Amino acid sequence: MRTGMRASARSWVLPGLFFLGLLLVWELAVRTGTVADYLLPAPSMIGSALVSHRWLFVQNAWETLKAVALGLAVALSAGLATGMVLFYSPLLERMIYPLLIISRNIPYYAIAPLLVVWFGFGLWPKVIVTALIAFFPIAVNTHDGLKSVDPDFVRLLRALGANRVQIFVKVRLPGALPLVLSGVKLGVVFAVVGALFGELVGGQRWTPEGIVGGLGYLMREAANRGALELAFGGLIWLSALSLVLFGGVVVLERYLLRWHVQERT
Amino acid sequence: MQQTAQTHAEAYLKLCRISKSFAHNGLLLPVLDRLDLEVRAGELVALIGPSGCGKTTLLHIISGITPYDAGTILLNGRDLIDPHHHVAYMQQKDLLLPWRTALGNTLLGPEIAGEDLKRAEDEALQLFQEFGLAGFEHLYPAQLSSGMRQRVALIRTILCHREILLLDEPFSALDALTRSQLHQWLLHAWQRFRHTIIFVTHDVEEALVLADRVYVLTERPTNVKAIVDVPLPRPRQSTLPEFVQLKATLLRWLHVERDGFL
Repeated sequence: MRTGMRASARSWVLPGLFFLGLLLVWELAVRTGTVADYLLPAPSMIGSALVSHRWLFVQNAWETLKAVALGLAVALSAGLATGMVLFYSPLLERMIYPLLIISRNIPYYAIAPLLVVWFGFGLWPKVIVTALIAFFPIAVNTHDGLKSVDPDFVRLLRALGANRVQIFVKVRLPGALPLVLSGVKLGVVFAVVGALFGELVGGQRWTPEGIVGGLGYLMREAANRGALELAFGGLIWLSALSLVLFGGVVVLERYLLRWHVQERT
Repeated sequence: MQQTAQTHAEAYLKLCRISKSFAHNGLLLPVLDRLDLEVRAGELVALIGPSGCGKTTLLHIISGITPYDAGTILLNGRDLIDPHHHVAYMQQKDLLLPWRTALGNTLLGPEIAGEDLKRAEDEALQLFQEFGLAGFEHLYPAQLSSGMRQRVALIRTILCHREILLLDEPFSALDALTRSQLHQWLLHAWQRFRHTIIFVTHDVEEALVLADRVYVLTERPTNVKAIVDVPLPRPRQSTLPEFVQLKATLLRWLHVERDGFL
């Protein structure tokens, strides 16, 4: 295990060096005037913007995080419930599941402008886009996960005299968990993009400190006003947010699927 | 430790004229035809027969998984109406839940029955010790060898606390060495808990190593062709002349069937 960790740390040395090299070339290209700094701010300029405007970023990141968290909460509860209902009701399964698969391919980001029309600016249109986008992988994977459970396990539990609730808790749920969690991972990635789209088309909110519209809104406004170092700063914050959320689910997955991880090694 | 382990009232099982047919492509396919079977209290009986003869169906009927068409099943002279409470069933597939540790898997029965888990755990740990699995309690099934997994499955079956064990070729997927070790574990458990055991196998030698009596079954529709007593002391050596002779007898019975069928 430890040697594995050391090996994976070593495998990051080369990409890390390459990335630093890219930053260096970028910095030099801007400093020497090869690229105009109003088109592409140098990494050092982005860095200083991140420091000097830190509260602006924190405020907007918090706004985005709220939309993502609320959207995920809705997607998670609705997705898990839908997956379970479809699994337990063959009629609804035949009626809805094919539509669910097809509708995964609808670009729900495109619905964001409509939601602004329907719900106005503010937090809720963003939450709705986020929830809508994250819902599908969670619902589909919950259903598929429940389906994937070995029926022999269920028969074993029945022979031991288990009731439906016991069978669900002891076999179906843990058996479905690997697929459910990979659905949640997809959902998290989609959710951040969903919130971003919600913010790009609107989504600001008046506060005593000024306008807070989330990172997407910040990036749009910064780009419109030629403050590209702020737009890049927003991009970095957004990536960090996405990575932290994804990493959180991966950690949760590692813990919940210890048996699965060990099965792989 | 004997007192924590539960021993059962010995069970005497009797099947009278059990018949069962399955509908297959619109035809009624008879699988069991007025089959009689008797297992004395605390006896270990082996069933052998040509593959596809209804051995598994028979076990399913006894354990209540499959309903039967006609006949009666008696337990200690009374109709067996609630097989779930008396019969535990184990098959070739160990069916260990991969997300539970070895110990967690063995506690499945007591958990579902709502028994005292602390007590069940003590009993399980004792059995892990006796079955040479001490130190493996908290490993996941994927980390265990197939012989260990089958032993864990056996402990789980024992901890269901049923008087009758139905074992459906439980060791047939294992290599010869592991299998013969598992025979010793099984005999050890049987002598300790006095279960009444029906053991299905297609291996004549396995039947002779384990059983008090061997039922030789016919092709479908299945009936009993012969009942062979195995009056040999345990542990049994497959090289002893009596053993070899019994093996020849059983093989002859099986071959009569096959030749008659061809």
